[in-house]
Amino acid sequence: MRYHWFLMAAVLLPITGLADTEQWRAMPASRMLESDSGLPVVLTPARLRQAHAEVPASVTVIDREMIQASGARELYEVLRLVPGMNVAKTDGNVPAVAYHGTHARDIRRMLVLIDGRSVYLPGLARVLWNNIGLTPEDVERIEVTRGPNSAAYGANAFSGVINIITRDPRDEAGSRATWRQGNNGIQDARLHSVMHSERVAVRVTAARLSDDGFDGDNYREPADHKQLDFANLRAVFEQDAATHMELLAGVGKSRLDRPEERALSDLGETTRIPQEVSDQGYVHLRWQRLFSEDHQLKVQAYSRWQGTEIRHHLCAMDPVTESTEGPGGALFFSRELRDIFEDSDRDIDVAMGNAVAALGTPDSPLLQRYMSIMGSGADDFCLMLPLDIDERSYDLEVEDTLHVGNWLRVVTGVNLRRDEASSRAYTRGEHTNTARRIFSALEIRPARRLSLHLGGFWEKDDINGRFFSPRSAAVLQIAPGHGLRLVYSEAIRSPDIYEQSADFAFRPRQLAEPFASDPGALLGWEKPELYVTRESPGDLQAERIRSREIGYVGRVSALDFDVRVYEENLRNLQSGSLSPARFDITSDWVDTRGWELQASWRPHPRHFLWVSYGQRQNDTSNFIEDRLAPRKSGSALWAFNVSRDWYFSSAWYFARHYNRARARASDTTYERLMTQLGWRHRFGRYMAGIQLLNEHQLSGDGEVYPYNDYDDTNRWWLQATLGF
Amino acid sequence: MKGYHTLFCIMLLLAGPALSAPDALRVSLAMQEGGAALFEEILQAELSSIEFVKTPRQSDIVIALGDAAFRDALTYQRPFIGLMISREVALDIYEEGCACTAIFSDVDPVLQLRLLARLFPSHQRVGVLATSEDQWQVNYLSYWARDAGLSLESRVIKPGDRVARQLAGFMGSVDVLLALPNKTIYNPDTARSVLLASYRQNKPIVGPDERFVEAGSVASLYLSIDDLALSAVDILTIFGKSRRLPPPGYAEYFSVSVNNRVARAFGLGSVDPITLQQALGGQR
Repeated sequence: MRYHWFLMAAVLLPITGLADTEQWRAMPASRMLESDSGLPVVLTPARLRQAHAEVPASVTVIDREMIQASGARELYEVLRLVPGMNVAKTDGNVPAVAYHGTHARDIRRMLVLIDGRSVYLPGLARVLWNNIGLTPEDVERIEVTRGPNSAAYGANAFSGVINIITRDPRDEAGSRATWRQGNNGIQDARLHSVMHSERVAVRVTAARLSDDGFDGDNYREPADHKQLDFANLRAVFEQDAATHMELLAGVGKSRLDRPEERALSDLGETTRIPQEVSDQGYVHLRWQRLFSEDHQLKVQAYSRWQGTEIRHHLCAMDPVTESTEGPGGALFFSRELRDIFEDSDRDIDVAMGNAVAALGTPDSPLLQRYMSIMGSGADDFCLMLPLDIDERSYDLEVEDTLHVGNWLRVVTGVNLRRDEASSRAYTRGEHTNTARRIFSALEIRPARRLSLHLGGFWEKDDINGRFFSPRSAAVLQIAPGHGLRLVYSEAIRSPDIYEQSADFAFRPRQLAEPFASDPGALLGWEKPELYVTRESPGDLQAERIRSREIGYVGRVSALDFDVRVYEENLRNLQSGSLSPARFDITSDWVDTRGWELQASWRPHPRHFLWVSYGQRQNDTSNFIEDRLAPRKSGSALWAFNVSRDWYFSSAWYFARHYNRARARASDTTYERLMTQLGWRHRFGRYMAGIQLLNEHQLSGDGEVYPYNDYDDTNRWWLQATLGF
Repeated sequence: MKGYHTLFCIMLLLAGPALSAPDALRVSLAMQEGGAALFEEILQAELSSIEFVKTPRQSDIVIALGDAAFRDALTYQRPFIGLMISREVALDIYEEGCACTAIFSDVDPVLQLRLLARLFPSHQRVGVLATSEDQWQVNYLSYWARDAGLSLESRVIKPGDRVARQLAGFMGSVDVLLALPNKTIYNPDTARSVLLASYRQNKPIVGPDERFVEAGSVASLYLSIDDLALSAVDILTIFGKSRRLPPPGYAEYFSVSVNNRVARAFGLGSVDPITLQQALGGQR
């Protein structure tokens, strides 16, 4: 409102009298000097954002201070701070991050988003943390919803959702170069640069991370060296006061040493450590318009791709002599052995028995093929067997958020998504899946301190048909900053393209002569394959989860805390192995109940403390679903700003009783103590920093499995940073 | 004898008005008409022994609103009170020597910091952007912050610096930003980028004034017309008794402006400005 004081007061005061004078008296005195400040009313979606105590879910927010204090070198490690989150490199250098983890390689039951873009891969249903192309320094904060949330995010937000929000380039300035070196082969480098103009801000980051992985135990030394290279860009364009657009893009490449594929280990001798090579990239556009403080529209579209190939180099073993000398191993790639396998109802043991019998039968096609191979004069049958998969996703989403008065908040949206998976080894070609989704969430406030939440996600896709995931919650605000919540939610994990359409075809490459030039004559088919093949029956059903929880979030002075008591029932779980050797379709169950606590406390401006703890009881029909389910887990973090230039932090992480179900000998405890000391100083427009970090292994156990262990109980690195 | 009697009567006649209202202070208001009418109304209600005159020459004391009127009041050769005077102007004129006093246009920054501490008791790291002219405020605040268990971190904005760029790295190391009244830093050109950064990084801003609160900061103290008028009443009361004026300073009375939409987004719930005003001692 603009007040023309001199006119209004002069005219109205004598007429209206003293009572209205009271109203004028409360007005700002500055209005008597200026009629208009010129300040814009800045539209932000602040009103549309829910305050922490009003959110109808258990949420853990990890901000930049915590990320920096955690000492995490790779982004996935930061998630150890979340109560109930199980983070482990169970499979060599491939991390598993799972909320209420079950399966040891449980990387398929969580949804991970980066700035709203899903990084869940549709082909093999997993999130590959090595390939998300972000360092901890790129991240503004991480919001973890603990509990199923398909109602807001669709299928595969099964046990929870990790929402990673990268740093807005408008909140950064200048360039920064970082070098990191340590034991265990740690060698990292990172460079980022931010450019600003009046309406545009752009950040570009390039990084390399590499380390040698675990050293193994007395029985096994995992081959798990890794090197990750990636670059990403985020550009923000402010079209006007209420509209902005963003472009996010990234490319990356990873090289991982991998363990031998168990299904191939009976074939012969590995001649080189298997290596997994991946290329990935994405392009992501976002548009957001604020029509008012009560109404916002967001549109986003992205395309994401990842191509992965695991290269196994081996020399096949002659099944008769059981030696890798000579070309006899080629028999495993012969048409005749495939025929025996098919005639044996695709049972490997039965097929091998029949093959032995055939080799002892004169004039059998298999014996003739063997004699032909042996008479070819070829050398040892060595080859490269690629396990490849290319996955692409295209996604378009429109989301509208609207406040009506103080009593209703509505979020609605539609989403269209197309997933493509193409693999010669796993699916014998390309498969696609198109999903159409509608989602909505209502927040109703029948009273000032009470809010009721109803949400649902309806989707239909080609592979899995129709699904509906509901959610309901009530939040009672006992006082500002204090909320009691009751939540019921359901979610599904829909079978991925591999699970529904698997059709194995392991075709060798880099064959030696004469096999390379004339496979038809020597092996019986022009495109030879390993004799083992298997197809998915194609009728896998979605896994289901149902969750009930009571939670309380509160604040007392400088202490913020959250407590959650929950019960989760998981049904129709695909726990068995799906491999060429066996396609073990199961319908297992897990019942999990327990409680979790998180608390942050700032007793002094220079000190920050964080504690998280979770305790759970996990009952299951299949011991495999108990491997990544520690009974107790938690973290404690202390960050201390010693002075303007010096800082120190220490973090303790533990998870007791991984992998206890089958053999006591494997009951492992993960316990680490991280300490970090750093110095940074500004010299005019430059900044320099040095950081020394040590990670000490407190428990003598490997991570989940005994062979996931280091020789040295200390892993350390030194980091130097220059800002300019 | 008769002559003395006549003279006495004449003197009585002349002194009549003075004798009939022995404490009446003659006040003239150097401000726009509408504002003058409002002030007259308020001051008349608070002080019985006050009389408003049209021109400064007829008055015992002048009340001037704003820097321009304050400077002009130097020419009236009367004692004068400035209301809503910028601190630099008030101190410059006072130090050159004048029969004057002033109530600053800004609120006491320590009170603003106390408002911040009351709204956000768990936010202990307070950030302040300042130019070199503000350094005295930063020093002044540091003492109080230390006693209150707060950590005050400042970043200096030099001429030519882009505020948004300076704010970028700075906001990450503080919990809440205290905005000091400085038009170089907080103005229509910078308001949007500052407030959007506050929202994005979830770091609330307190201050610098009620107009910024309307634009999107959480809360601020400000001076209402009533606060100014009551400050003038106190000064007039002192002047009426002792013919002395206190030195220029901050108003003892102040009001609180809250943007409840923004406050709710920062987890404050609904905040009552009157309750805050009472708790901070801004009411009479």
